[in-house]
Amino acid sequence: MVGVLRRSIVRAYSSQTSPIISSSLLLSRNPIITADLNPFEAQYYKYQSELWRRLMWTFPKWFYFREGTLAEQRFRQLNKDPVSYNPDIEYPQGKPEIRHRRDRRFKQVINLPKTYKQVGEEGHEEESLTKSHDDLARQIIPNSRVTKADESNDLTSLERKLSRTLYLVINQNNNWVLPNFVESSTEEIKALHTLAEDGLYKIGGEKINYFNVSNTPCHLRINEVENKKEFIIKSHILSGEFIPQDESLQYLWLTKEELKGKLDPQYYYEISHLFSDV
Amino acid sequence: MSVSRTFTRAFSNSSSLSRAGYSTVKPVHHLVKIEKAALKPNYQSLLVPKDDILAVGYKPTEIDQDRLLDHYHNTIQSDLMLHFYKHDAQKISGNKKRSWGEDSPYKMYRPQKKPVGTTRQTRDINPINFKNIPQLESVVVQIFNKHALEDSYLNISSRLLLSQITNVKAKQIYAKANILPWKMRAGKPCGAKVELTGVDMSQFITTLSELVLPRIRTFKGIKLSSGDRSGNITFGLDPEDVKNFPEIEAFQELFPNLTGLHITFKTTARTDDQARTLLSSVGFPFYKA
Amino acid sequence: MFSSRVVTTSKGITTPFQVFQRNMTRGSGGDAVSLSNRRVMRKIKMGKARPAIFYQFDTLVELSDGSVVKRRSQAPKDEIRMISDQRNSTLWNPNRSDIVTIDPNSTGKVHKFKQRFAFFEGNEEQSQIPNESADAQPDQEKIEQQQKASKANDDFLDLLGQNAEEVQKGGKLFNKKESRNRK
Repeated sequence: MVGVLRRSIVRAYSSQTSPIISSSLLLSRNPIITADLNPFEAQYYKYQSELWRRLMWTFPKWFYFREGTLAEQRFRQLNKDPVSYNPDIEYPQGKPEIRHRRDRRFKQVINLPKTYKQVGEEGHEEESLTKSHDDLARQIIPNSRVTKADESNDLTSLERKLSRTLYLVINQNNNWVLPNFVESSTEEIKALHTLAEDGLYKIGGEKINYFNVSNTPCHLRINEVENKKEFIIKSHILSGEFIPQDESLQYLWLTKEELKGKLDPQYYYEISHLFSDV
Repeated sequence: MSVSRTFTRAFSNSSSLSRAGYSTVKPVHHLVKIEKAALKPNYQSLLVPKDDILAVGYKPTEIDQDRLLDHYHNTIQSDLMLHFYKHDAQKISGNKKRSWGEDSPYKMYRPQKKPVGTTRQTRDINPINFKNIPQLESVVVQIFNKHALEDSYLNISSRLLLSQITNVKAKQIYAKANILPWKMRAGKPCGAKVELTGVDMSQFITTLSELVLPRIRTFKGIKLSSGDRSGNITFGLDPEDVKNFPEIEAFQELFPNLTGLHITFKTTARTDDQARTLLSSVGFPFYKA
Repeated sequence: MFSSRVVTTSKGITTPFQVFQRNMTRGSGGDAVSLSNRRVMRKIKMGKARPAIFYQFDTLVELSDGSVVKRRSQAPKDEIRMISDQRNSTLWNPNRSDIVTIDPNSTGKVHKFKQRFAFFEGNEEQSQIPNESADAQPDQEKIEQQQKASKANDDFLDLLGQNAEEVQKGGKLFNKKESRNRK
């Protein structure tokens, strides 16, 4: 069956002029941060983690904070003992069940002595503003998930949409396409992945550190309009930057949804399965 | 009395004589075995599976986003499939048990011959497609503590160490053999182990590759020769290296007896080569010894 | 005889309690006497055991390149700042020329030499490799690349050709029983 199919393809082309073989580069920037959660997923994780917190064992204070040490004193100031059970008192909300100075009816919440000055603290507001970035005593605050490039909607920046996979597309004859490279001389035969690599360095400069997933193309697109066979080579950009060597070259780093709006519908339909949803 | 005797005689003699064969249907009262102990009302809770939220032993597993798993699904999985693609790849059959022949019923029902040159069968290696992309099954971390052979209470520290760095309660392991020069006696506790899956596994892997291994000065990578030929890679850490775990580093006075670790990555890869590629894609370098 | 303290809780109820130690009692002189070295385990009925989940804190870890990750850790620390980690390790970042590994602990001649001349180290090779600007990228592909490169160096495989790969077939397996008998 396979043999028959292959023969029929060969026959279809044998009558025409031999197609141009070209190498397209599917250059992607992988997500840098965790994916954005939709409200349902966020709620699910919150519910599960709260269950998990409720089921946690009591914090072994006696192991980490030895009796009589300064650290233990500080810990005790932050974490007051719960109200103990007194049989003479009536508890309308339920009797406290104290084990190892923890009320077993609730999840345990431990406050830790801070090793840094908090931003909200009085007297430190001006200091924290003037503090240098390298200060080792500052509080660790996770970086913003939204970058400057997101705010200015700079589609050519690699630092946009950190939680998504971005793909490089360039403008060719007023059409947005994946960077596509054709062998210039017919005498010298190059491998598809080296053809793509040379082409990339030619249009985007050599300051790109990228990883070629495989020498095998991940997709063959038959372009009947231009009588072209486009082999798509998959690769990831690891570091560096795409700097167009030609001033007129337009390029964009886009997510899958944005590609749908930019690419030609037929072209997008043929290669959309190569793009990651995340 | 006389009636019953005649009836008995009729039953035992004439009916058995008149019947030629035997029943192929087994009597029902021999088939059904009831474990009465399991029906005790006290044990009703045991019948609820552990992953049911109603079970007493239920442990929530999907407590947070798993960034390693996400990275695997988003990027690594499809990359590995392309990376392992080979045109016209064929199945490589493993070394299997051999038939004695089928020309006589004796040979047909005889236990099969052992595989050529070995005692055990080896698995087939199938070409990688979307169904069998290698993935991490679990990580087993194990400690052998020889001091615990003499004083079994010393094993507490190795179990504590494992539980601290993996967040999973460690099991005790026991010596299996009597080896006198090592003071080893069967049944003596001699270490600890945990098998990590899910979020605990992901966190352990990222901790190892991001925080622990890069800080070991002599670390060159995992040896290329490591592996059990069927896709499971093992390497070890010295007691000195174990100090680099964030939990141990900040509280070193609490862990006076540090021991080394053996870390085994169990993967679904069929060859070590595939397993190594998978591991290197989650951040473990390899080197040729 | 028994030393007891009075602790006032926040609600003003006073409760006497003493430091509890398992299997310990106090002799007439007030010194602790160990009754047994065995820990008395509380009996948990079959099917009544809750899952073993240790108390865990959410610890923020700041890596050396400024990225922050969250870890679940039993150690009572809510943040850790790493000075050296994967992001500035030469083994994980073979293409970066801006990392100079100077170990603060070493005090040898080689170290002194490195301190003085680390700037020139490996400059000839790294001039070929493009510089990096962003380094917050996942590094696993680099390692894969590195691994592939090291594999290509394998002289045995070189003999077979560029794309040759080891084919693993069912060979001999380690036999535990036999090896034990050999001893």
